[in-house]
Amino acid sequence: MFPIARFRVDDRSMEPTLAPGDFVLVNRLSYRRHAPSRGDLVVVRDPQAPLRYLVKRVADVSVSGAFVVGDNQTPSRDSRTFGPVPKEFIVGRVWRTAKP
Amino acid sequence: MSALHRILQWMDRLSPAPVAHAHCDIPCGIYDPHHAQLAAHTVIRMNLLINDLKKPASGSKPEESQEYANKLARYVATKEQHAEIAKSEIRILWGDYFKPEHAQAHPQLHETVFKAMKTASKARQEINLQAAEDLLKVTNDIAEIFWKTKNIPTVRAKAPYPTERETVYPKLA
Repeated sequence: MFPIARFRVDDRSMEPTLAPGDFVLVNRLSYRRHAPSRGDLVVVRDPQAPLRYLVKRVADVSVSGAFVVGDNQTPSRDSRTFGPVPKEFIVGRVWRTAKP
Repeated sequence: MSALHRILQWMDRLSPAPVAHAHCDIPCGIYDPHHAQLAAHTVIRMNLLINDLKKPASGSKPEESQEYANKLARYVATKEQHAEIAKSEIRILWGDYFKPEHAQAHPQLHETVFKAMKTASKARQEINLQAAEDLLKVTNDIAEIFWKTKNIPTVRAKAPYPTERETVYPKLA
């Protein structure tokens, strides 16, 4: 498995951190050895539609997974809707972000 | 960072990166295929009523012809309207609710919607019970896909309307 995955951001719930059109590079190996930490920017699979990826920030970590939220909380559908994201749905930690 | 963005943009042109949604769902998120199914039932019912309508015999009284014309006009108008409602409701689901990953998981989705549009037009244009039955069938197929995307099981049951046709309902706990 190539450790770095690219994603393109397409909407606004992570503003001002990320805006539509930004790219993120994700380290898929980052949570091999340790669990996510509070404040990590992560790409996860949507627990309600696993073919869809979401980029969120970890607000809390528990045994049931990572509770993720958007930085811009008003328009964000996140763990407040779908609960904690199980470990197997976490793609990895955002290693670099690229803005135009 | 800008150089990195340029490189990534160039890579994206060669092979598009998957999209990571931050998800801003301003659309209300309230969708239900029931409207389309209900409209299809109405189209069936109108066909049945039209077929049951006694045609005035030649040389019948003007009042009888008038009565016939009135009822026929009302049934046809309702059939028109509801075939159009079915089309509009299906277009809303297709345009606003269904996402690319739904179409990926249910590859028959686009073809089914296309069929629904054509069938609804036929049911609208003609007095054709079979077209109306086909319209209900295809709205049921769409309802089944819809509820599957929400991981809600469905059941096929006889509808509690005069049409009594088999209809797909969600099994809500």
